[in-house]
Amino acid sequence: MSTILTSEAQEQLNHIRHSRDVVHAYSPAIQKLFNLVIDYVDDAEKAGQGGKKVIWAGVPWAMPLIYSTGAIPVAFSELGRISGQEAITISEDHYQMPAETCSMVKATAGEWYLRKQAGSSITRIFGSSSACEPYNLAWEVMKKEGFDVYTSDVVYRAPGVEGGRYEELVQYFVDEIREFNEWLTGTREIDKDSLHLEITRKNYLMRRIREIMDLRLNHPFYVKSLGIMYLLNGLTHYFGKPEEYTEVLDSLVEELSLLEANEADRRRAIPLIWTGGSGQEFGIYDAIDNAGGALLGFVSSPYAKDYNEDIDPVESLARFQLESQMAGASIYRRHVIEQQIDKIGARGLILYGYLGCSFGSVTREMYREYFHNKGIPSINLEGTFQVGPPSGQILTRIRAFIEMLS
Amino acid sequence: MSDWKEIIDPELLSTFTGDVTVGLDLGSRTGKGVLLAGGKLYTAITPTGVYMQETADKLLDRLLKQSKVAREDIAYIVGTGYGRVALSFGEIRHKIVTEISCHAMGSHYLNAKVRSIVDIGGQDSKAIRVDPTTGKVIEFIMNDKCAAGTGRFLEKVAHLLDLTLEQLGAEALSADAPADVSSQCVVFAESEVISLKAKGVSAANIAAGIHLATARRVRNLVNRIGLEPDLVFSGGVSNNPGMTKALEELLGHPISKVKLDTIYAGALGAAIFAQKAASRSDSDLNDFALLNTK
Ligand code: SF4
Repeated sequence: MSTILTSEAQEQLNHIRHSRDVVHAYSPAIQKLFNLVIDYVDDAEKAGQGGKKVIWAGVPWAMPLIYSTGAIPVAFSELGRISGQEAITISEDHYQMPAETCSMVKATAGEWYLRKQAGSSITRIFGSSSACEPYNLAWEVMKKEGFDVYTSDVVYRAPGVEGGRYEELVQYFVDEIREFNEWLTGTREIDKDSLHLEITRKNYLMRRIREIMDLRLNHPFYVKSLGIMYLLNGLTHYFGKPEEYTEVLDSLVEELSLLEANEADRRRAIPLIWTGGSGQEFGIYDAIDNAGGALLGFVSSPYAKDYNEDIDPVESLARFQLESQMAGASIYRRHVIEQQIDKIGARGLILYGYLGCSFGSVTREMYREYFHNKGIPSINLEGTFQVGPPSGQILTRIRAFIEMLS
Repeated sequence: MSDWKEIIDPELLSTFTGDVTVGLDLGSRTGKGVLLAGGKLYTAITPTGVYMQETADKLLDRLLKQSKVAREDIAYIVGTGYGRVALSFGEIRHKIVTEISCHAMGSHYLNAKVRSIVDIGGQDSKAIRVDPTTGKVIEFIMNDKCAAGTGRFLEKVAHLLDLTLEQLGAEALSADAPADVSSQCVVFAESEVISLKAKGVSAANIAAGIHLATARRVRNLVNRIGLEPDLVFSGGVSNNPGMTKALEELLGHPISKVKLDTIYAGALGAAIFAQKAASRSDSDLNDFALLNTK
């Protein structure tokens, strides 16, 4: 089955192709990265047709486990990114989702419907429950649509959860992981050797990302904003092709290491940190680049520290998640933002969220207030998940923000 | 046409060079232009057409005719406003700067003490904090989600009351008991205005109520960034006396008088950015790194 694409989605893909062929024409590594992006969903569909186990998966912690079972995860976020207005309309009309529902959920649910109609090979969905009401609604709708939907609880580490309480949380999470494995493979028994290998792979990739982020400080404009967004998104799911994603990172490290330090670029760049979801309206990234902004910090996929390779891999998976910036309370991410501000000398923060996400808007407000008081200005952007060019007002705000910092 | 000396804050007059520069502010409803040449300031205004470049060319022609300056004598053009991205002026050096920076810079040159700006345009409203030493933006907030608090909303209401936009503002000044208008949504406002009319509320009181409701939205924006005097009101709606009154009342602070119609503040700011840019070579021009966006 080929991807169903509306004309807007084609435009979105054209944007990626342009970034690959024109903007990053000098970088074979980034070109390879964008090939992975473009082919991700289609190739996963083909793998499904060829008898491979493929699932829609929206839970970042589960990715190493899914790979360890030989299955391919397709992140819903990437599906939403190539969806068009038609998908949104289906969610609003066919599923009667209120217009103000999170645009990511509407885009994804509408896409699932369209794909099912077209005979998609991927019929199983793994999501998380209790965190997000709009997705809870989507799960119910998708079950009725005939999808095999499994959701696991979000394990939330509140600030101050230590000692015995923390250990209980780890145990609870380990159980969750086993239950998910049962849904995925039919058994609670996890192939520990395989999972260990995946954890080792993940550690390797995170180290590579750290190297890339460090090297970018000397070459802030080599990987443009859209490229860095995809590079870091890929760290979660590897676009269904772990070996090829590894090659991308290896060759990018090589490319960056061979470059002479560019003093002029370093002085010209306005170092920025992006927090929150990754933007869908790709024009936002262009606007940042054109205004001289450089996204040198990106707080979404955790890559700052490794998984523990010396303990039981299931436990390692649980502990990594509970100790990372995605552990729950936004305070963990705030610490990472603070570290990055110091490291890159950030002049401003871009706080990005999706229209209709109440969690996101509260967190953004908290960050704004906190960092404002520390003298770091921020801009709060609310984007939609559907494709298409961003509104002129959003672009004006980004430009004005960067003008203000320059 | 006016002398700079009559308009620009005397503290900042000395920063002007002899370069001929132009600022073009292409708003969603009207295009405004300012040309600076030989100690004089020229202005032009025209409704924004479908094609921004045509609107820009028309403004430029008018400015050149008025000032009798030759096109080739223009040292630099800065474009701003909603339609800025599409601009191209062939051989004349040009760049774009956002209207937020331009309104700040323009207002600063009209009153060097200004620290806060309320800018209400056709499509959005903004509150901006300005650094009084440089005219640069320190912080800004923009309401761009819907018509609430914008010129578009006032225009819609004027239409419902069979008034022009100018009449709406003037009408509001004669209100004795401003109506309580809760809605800010153009869709709901229609039924609210109709029911107020049905209840026999006068057009003046409805108009005043509408201005107060709009000003409340703007006050929320201003509160967010903190109001510090002096305060300037710029943008297309700044000509509306009903809005000025409502804002002063709600903000509890007078709006500073300046010597240029502040509908031109953005275009003036753009012309000033053009002055700063003209004296440097393109390779030095990294102040906003916004060169050559075409
Ligand atoms: S962005 Fe917010 S509302 Fe949307 S899916 Fe994520 S958590 Fe849910």
